[in-house]
Amino acid sequence: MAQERDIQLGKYQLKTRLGKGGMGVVYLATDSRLKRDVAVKILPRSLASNPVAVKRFLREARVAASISHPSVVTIHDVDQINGQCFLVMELMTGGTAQDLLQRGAIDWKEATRIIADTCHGLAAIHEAGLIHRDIKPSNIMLAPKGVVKLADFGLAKLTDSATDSKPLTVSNTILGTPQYMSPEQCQGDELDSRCDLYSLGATYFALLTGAAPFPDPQPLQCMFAHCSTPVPDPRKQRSEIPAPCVAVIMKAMAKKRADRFESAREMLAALRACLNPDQSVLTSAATATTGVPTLGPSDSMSFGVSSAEPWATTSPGVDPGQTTVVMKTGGADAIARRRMILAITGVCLALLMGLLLWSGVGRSNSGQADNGPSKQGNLGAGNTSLRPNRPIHKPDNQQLRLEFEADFPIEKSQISGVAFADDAQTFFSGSMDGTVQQWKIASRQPVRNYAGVKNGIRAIAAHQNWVVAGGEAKTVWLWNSGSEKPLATLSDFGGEISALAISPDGKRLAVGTYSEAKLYQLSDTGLQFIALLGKSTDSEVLCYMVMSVAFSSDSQWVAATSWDDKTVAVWNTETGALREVKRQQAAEPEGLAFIPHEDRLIFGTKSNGLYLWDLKLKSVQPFLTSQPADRKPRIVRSILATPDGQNIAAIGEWGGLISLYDLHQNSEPVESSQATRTSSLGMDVSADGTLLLLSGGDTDHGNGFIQLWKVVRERSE
Amino acid sequence: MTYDTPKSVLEQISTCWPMINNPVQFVMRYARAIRKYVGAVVRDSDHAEEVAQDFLVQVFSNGFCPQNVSRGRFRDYLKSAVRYVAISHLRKRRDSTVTEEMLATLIQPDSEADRTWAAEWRSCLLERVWQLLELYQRESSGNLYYSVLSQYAADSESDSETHAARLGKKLGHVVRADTFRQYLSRARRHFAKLIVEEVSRTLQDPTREDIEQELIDLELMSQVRGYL
Repeated sequence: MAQERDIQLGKYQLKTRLGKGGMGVVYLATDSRLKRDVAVKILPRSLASNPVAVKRFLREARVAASISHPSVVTIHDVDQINGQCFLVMELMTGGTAQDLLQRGAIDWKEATRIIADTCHGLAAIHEAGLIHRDIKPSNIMLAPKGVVKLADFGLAKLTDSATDSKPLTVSNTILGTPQYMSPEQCQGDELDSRCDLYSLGATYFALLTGAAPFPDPQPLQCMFAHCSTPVPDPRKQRSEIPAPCVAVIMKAMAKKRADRFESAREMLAALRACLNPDQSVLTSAATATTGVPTLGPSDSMSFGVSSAEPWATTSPGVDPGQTTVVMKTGGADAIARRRMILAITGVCLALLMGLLLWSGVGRSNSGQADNGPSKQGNLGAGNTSLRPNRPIHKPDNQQLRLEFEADFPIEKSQISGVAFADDAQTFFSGSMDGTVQQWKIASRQPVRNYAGVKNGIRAIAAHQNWVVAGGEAKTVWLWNSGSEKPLATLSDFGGEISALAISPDGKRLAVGTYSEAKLYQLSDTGLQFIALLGKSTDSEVLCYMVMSVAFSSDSQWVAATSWDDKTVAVWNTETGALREVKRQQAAEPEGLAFIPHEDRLIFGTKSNGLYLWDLKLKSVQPFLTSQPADRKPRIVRSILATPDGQNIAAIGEWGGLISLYDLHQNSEPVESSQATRTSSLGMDVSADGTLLLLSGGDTDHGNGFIQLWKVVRERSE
Repeated sequence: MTYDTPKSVLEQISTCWPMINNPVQFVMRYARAIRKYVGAVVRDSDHAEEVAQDFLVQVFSNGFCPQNVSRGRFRDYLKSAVRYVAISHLRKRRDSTVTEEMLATLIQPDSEADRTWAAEWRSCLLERVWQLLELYQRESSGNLYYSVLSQYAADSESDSETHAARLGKKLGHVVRADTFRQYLSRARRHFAKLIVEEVSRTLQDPTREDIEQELIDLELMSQVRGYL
């Protein structure tokens, strides 16, 4: 370090030059009033005379100071004295990730933790409407106790969402560091936040391998490679790098922006999944995208002295013995963790009720002998299979846990629905890649592919020995679960199949499509048409975009939700005659379920509403009169009613969150982030109530998943 | 949401030749085509890498000379420049496999390398247009051009009812078939506009005829015919 002593700049005494960048020289300094060491970045005089540089420098200060985040370097002050523009910021004494790189590749866990924490800070920057534009190892600052902070906003550009100001782009000047520049930066294109994700991916590559992905020292060649050369596999340099880490790099560094992570939050979730495979849904980060991060950086891994705490800010000095101030603020992650614990407890409680019900005596609906667990059929809710209902008694002193059990290897496509087989040793899945599969839970591998399917599958249901699926091809296929050849194929639909349900007595199949709802008789000989319940035009009930169909627990009624006229309707399953219809609900209805043993049903809408429809009273009431204040509108895709009618679980397009409601209390739901990072579309519970399946994915990018949870009952003391 | 008026896209573009002002960035936009072309000419990955580096150094040092460009078509100029570097490199190799006859085939029109160049150039251009369309949607609140057109491009056989339903499901509200068709028409128009703009950036002071000829040569006329 160059020594430049006794320079006084206002209240700051400059001690040592720490480094020099394109937009300034950084000094170690002491704030004489607050008696603390800080870092002072001074705009060089040669640039201070340049109005553009001064403007950029001041903008850096404003941008950086506007962000308060544990993974972003704090800006204390900005000033201009005697023509010297300077910035005062938090002093980071642990060096940078570039310093670590000087010693070679970094252990994958530590590299992932560093990048995840950086991504955490980057998410805050992006959410403030900013683009960093110069993510690289030397801008990732390290502090004691493993704290990682993102620094240097010298190239930050205010995006339109934050201000109307124009970017300070100098013609023919390449801003950024070639080894970590995105293709669009190399090409001089308009930038968005995804350029930072590319650079962060390149930085991740460097930390994992010890070298940048395109290490050519010549800037032009390096940029040329960013634009035209596929990203090399880092495992060629270090074979021990886990595949999910490689997948994160490949997705982050996709040449096309649309193929990258949509946001830093999505990338963060994928990185955390690399660190917490037990919490993750996906084995490949290529299939990891959206969602609510389940754990904060502090939960990820522990490296060195301690793991980085997302809520920890340090005010370090050059004196190693100086007091470190640590402030705990809780933060969203902590809240999310608490919510998760509560939600898991709540979900488990609901599932316990189901477990007790399903393992109880008698099979009143089907009339079958009680010879072990048996799936009784689907009670509704679009792709959601529901269990038959029985009276249950909530045992005292019981605690439930929901343990993550397994991911099932999904190539990519969205998994629209899942349904357990009766024995719960296997289950069925329908995918948008056009496959219907039977999976063996023990081996976590598919054991059967059902033939005859064309195009993507949007809905699936299973009951007894039947499996039924349908989707984009406007066709419904019916299989005997032991045979890959379809027992029946129906193609007399006007729209894509969007919802399927089999009645609890196993005698009816309801089919919802984008343009109609139909009812069929189900028998060993196949499917026989009973009634057209509604269609998109010229119908008493306009059925356009039928998102869910469901049967009552006694199999007497079938209900459907339709976007047209925002309709929910109920028909008799013997005749197909309309019983009731409710139109013009608050928003387009989606998920649907009958309350077992009651003449009520509950449906969800695309704007987060949940409504109870009492068929006897002919009234529809909002289920909750108050909603969490921070709740954004979201689609209630599927609903699962517990067999005792005490609880309902709802899933939808909000990053794998399960909401659990108590039907008898007007209270906020217990919610849980279930470690999925994409939309949940289907769920099912095993007949014995011990296993829960979730499935989903993204519409555009696939990112499909199937997740198995184990319900654990424990007696508390 | 605002939509383009149905006037000719040719009336909306401003012609320029940005590679003269910023040759590096422009070369980067067609980097994949250059790399593939060099590979087709040199047929050796190591040597291709060297040729690409030599070419980039020349671009960075000297930029481009518009006076040397015939017909004002940048891709021809760029191809010539790359080929010149490649042939020079091959000659320096002193490899017995490199004969003058072999080199002569490289400058024959419609050679395999030429076809590779044209195809990759077109691919780069279209990829760039798709990215611009995606960016446009991302930055225009409520715009659906990219979603609509990419959905349609992925499955052009399904009818409007089906597409409308798919789009509606994605958006979370009802989209009628006629609405989808309207979206699609506007998206196509904007896509055509972006193609013409991008093509025009590769031409020196282009006339309408120049642009049309280039669109024909790149087999892009079918994409823009109804909007010119």
